[in-house]
Amino acid sequence: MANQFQFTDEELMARFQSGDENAYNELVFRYRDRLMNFIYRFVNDMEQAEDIVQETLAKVFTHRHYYKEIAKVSTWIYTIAGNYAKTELRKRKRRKTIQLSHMGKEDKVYEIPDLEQEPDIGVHVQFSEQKIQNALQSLPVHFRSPVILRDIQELSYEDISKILDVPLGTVKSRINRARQQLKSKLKE
Amino acid sequence: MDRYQFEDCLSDYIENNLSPSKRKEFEEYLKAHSSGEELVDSVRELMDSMKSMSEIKASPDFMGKLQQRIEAEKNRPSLQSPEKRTYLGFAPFHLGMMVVVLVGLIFVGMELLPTNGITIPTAQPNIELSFPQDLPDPVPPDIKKDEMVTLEQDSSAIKDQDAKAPFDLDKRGATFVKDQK
Repeated sequence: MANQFQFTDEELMARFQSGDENAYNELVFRYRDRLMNFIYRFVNDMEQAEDIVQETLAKVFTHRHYYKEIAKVSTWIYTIAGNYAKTELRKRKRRKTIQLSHMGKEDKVYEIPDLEQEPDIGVHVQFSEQKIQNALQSLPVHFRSPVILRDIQELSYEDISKILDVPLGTVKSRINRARQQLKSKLKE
Repeated sequence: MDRYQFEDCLSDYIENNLSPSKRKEFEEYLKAHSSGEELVDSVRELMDSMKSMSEIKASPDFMGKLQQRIEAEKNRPSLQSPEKRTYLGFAPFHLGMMVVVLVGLIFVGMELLPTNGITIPTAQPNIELSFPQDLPDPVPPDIKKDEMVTLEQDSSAIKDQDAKAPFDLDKRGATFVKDQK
């Protein structure tokens, strides 16, 4: 298992496609936290984020033969995750009114982690995480996903363009505008 | 450079993606407008803050849950059922629907075809030829096959008939129809 770190994602995928399930486990190990970061920042709900990441990785397992080596594995996986996240947001939008009218005493309340209390964050963080997280949620979806992929996931503009299936110039301008909108919201 | 152009170039400037000439223009704008410099600083600060956000980790039972989900997916009937098979690149249901539509179209087409014969317009405006679709059997039923003569035997008779009278179109199933106009 240790020497699997020598393999690229594409090599691991090829091994998995030919039946090596250890290669799949390695891919899961490499991607689960990265995807959790991306999806949590996008949907702002830990339980839903984990559910989406699991759905994504299960789809990677069941649809492994749909992957063709013309694209990077990371792009493919992020695209699946992004699509699930967008679907979840649409569902949530539809459910919103129903939930409000049917909320009872037994309804579960999920705790949002108080990131401001995390000791690792340190004093150099200029804007508090929770404020950024809230500001991110107020962005339109087509601004939110590229800015998360760029500034939190640190992906290249080219990769983001492929993941979102949007032209490179559009990705750049959306990220630029998203940053300025975030900045305005944080100053409010 | 105006304010809009300045804002458009903001991220490219921070990420060092501007061409030297554009960069010079951008910096000239910054010198002239202090608000521009503030904007650059605050966006840079925001980007740094986002990069240093704490990492979200999957829960400890993530792998166990994932394994369960994969097992459930493996056993899902849609992944195994023959309905997933395709014929000529089509799912069985779609292929069946296409066959039904095709048969329907053929049936409708046959219903629309003329049954009372075919009318052919001629060069003359007041005359058109009409051929009934069900032509009479050239061999009348009362003539036995062994009584029939070959073409060679009969050629002299045909020649005689041609000499006597013009070909009777009525007997071969063709008729002249006068134009109603």
